[in-house]
Amino acid sequence: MKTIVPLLSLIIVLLASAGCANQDYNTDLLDKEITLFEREISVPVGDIGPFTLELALKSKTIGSLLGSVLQTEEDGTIIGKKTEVFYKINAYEIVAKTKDLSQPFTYSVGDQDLSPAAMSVSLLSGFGFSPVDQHVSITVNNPLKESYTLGDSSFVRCVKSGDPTFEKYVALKEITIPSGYGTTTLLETDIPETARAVPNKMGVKNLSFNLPADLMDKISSSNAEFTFTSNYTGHIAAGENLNLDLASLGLGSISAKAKLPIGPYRLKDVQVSFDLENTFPLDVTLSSLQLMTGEEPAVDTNLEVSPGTLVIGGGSPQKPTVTPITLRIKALSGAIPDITGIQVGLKLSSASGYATTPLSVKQGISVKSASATLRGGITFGNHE
Amino acid sequence: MILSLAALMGATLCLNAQSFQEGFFLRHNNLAYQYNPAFVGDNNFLSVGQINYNVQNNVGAGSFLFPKNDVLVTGFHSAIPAEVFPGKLPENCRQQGDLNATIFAYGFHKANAFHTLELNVRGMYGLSVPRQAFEFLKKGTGSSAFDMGQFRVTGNLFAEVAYGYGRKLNDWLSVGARAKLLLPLYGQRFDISDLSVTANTEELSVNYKGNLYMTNRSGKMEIDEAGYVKPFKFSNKEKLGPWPAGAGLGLDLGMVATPVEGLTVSLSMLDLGGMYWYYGNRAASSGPLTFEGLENLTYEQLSADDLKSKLLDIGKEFLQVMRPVPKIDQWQWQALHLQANLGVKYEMPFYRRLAVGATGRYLGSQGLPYWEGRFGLEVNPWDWLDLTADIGTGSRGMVWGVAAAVRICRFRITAGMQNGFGGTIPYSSRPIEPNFKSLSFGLSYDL
Repeated sequence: MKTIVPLLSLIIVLLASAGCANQDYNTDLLDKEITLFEREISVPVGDIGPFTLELALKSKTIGSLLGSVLQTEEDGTIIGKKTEVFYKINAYEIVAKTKDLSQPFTYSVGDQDLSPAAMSVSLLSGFGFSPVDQHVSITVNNPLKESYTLGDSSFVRCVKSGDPTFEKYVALKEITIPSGYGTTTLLETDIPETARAVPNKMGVKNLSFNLPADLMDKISSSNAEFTFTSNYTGHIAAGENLNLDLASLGLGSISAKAKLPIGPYRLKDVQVSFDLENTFPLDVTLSSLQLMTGEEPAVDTNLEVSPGTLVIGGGSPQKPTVTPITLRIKALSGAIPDITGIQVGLKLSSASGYATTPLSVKQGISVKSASATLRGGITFGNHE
Repeated sequence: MILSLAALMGATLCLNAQSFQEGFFLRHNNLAYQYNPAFVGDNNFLSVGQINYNVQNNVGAGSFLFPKNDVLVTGFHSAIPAEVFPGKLPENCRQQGDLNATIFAYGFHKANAFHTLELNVRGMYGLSVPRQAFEFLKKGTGSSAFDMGQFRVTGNLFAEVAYGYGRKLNDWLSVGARAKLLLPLYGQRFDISDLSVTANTEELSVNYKGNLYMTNRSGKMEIDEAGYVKPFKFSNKEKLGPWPAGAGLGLDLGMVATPVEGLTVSLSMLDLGGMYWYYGNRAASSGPLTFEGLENLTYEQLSADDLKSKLLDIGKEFLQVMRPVPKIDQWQWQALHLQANLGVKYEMPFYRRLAVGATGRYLGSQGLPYWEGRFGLEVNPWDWLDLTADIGTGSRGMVWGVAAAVRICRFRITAGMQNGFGGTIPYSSRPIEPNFKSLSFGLSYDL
């Protein structure tokens, strides 16, 4: 008995110790990182958009570039308007420069020109877009109490240098400028559609005034200036010949910052599928698509982006084109870090059938039926 | 939520129960008849306060947590392959527990028999989570529907009024029985069945059938103007439903044989029977819940706050679809967890106060049956002290148990513990391995 009781007691203690704590399972050491859906998971995302030029103009980057020059009509159609006084002279200046005012006389000015087109239309024309629906006019006022005429050799003109089909001349000798408020139109015309360019010179040639005697007494007290004003309106369209390829311009690829903080989720393979609906009349080709990572964004060669080239067809609001797109980003090793930029080659060309349709800021792209597929899991609770 | 669910599966309560092994091996256990009604006590006795609790899990905390390079990670960590988690989980991860609190017990000899009267409160609870739920989260799914199986949470409490009769038929054979009147007090069951998830590029869809059963003791669940149930909100108009919430009968049978001196053989069947529950509160809900993508999401709404708001709106829509509808009251049969016990004990001829033996037990819990076999050692060095220890194996792995009984004057105090091997999580009682655990404490007075 003397040995059995202590032996049994020892057995009891040993067995009790079998239920003791296992320090390997101390939950104070718990790493709460979890990775779900390691094989694959697909989810629908839905419809997003539209992303229009109007929205882009609100952004800091694009808006700062184009927002100050683009004007739109109420329906969103992009319009270029420019009204500018290209020549003015004060009647008193003429009086001061003329020796004999007792007789009617002719005051010669010479040539006065300006570039009439609105900056927006000029700017976009430079990139290959075509101006359409262009309308120009030149007006003049009369600061005198009676009418006057312009010199026999005077005429107004609207031309594009080097393009003989693009000329409009109007002789001014038959035109009488009546007195009173308001202006007289010297020239008003539509630029032909065949021009496909903006006029780069408009104004008066061999301008001279046929002024009455005693000019001093004829000047209106409220306004003593002869003012010649140029008026321009025009729209912009894709045009048949638009072919804007950054590579051929020597600009290579576009690099843009795009912050996508997906690094902590340790994604390895992401596929996004959607239908891209385009109401912009431009065919867009995105080539050499690459993603950039790092605080100083640089192309990450560990990330494979497919397809490398995307072609998006152009359309219109009445007839949008739908391009199915499947974009896959895969990390060749490890996980996809934070995306800090995108580098892509860009080519724009006009979509067939929409060459002369004015562009609108309401046009843009929409993402339809988007879905995402993750392979390799998504991680939460990452301490890194 | 995942970690909490896993923790719950590995959790056990602090209370435990006296085991058959204690009832069989301890020589002077007044309540031994609870494990075999054929055990005829030496003394008349009165007992107030005995707690008896069994809990078993077919998964332990170690099924969800894994030591890795000086840290502890969950099964969802990328370092743990799917073949380990949830590959090694059983088809259904279950936890079940039985509680038995003896409020009052009185045993007395009369007419050559040993009679017992008892009032007990008993409870049972169960939780079942399908392995597929963890598989879906760990691996994801292809385009076809992913069958998630069935979730279930049950719990109930009932009173038991028992009368036991044990009698020695001759010098070597005793038989006994206990008849029990079962009075359901409170019960509830919530299950989700036919649960499947479809996740592909066109839709994220959850199909399910949900059912809620609850007794009417605490009142009738309220119904809103649209006819949907407000779960767990009860109307005062029908506060007192039928009580008890049903009725039933249970039976224990047993025999004890001592064919030769010092050899004891015990055979018993406990908890034959069950009870009818009246579920005065019933509700059901069914899917599918389908998400086909965000609609009309504008570019301006791509900010994190707007997206969160949109997703919350979708969540609220889903909750609206999931609103349960009332169903007709229902009577349901619930069987007790049948228990079969076999024990053999032999007192050493050279020292009668030392005995060795073996026991076997089968517990027929629905969905989580349990069996075990043990070898035991018992010593009664003095009349006032009885000690026992055992070790064995069962459907939850290796098991062990210890118990002691102390007599101080006419008071008898018993305490016992049973557990599995594998240890626990530090600072908690959560077992690391699948486990069957119990702990008991009892107090009785010899009359």
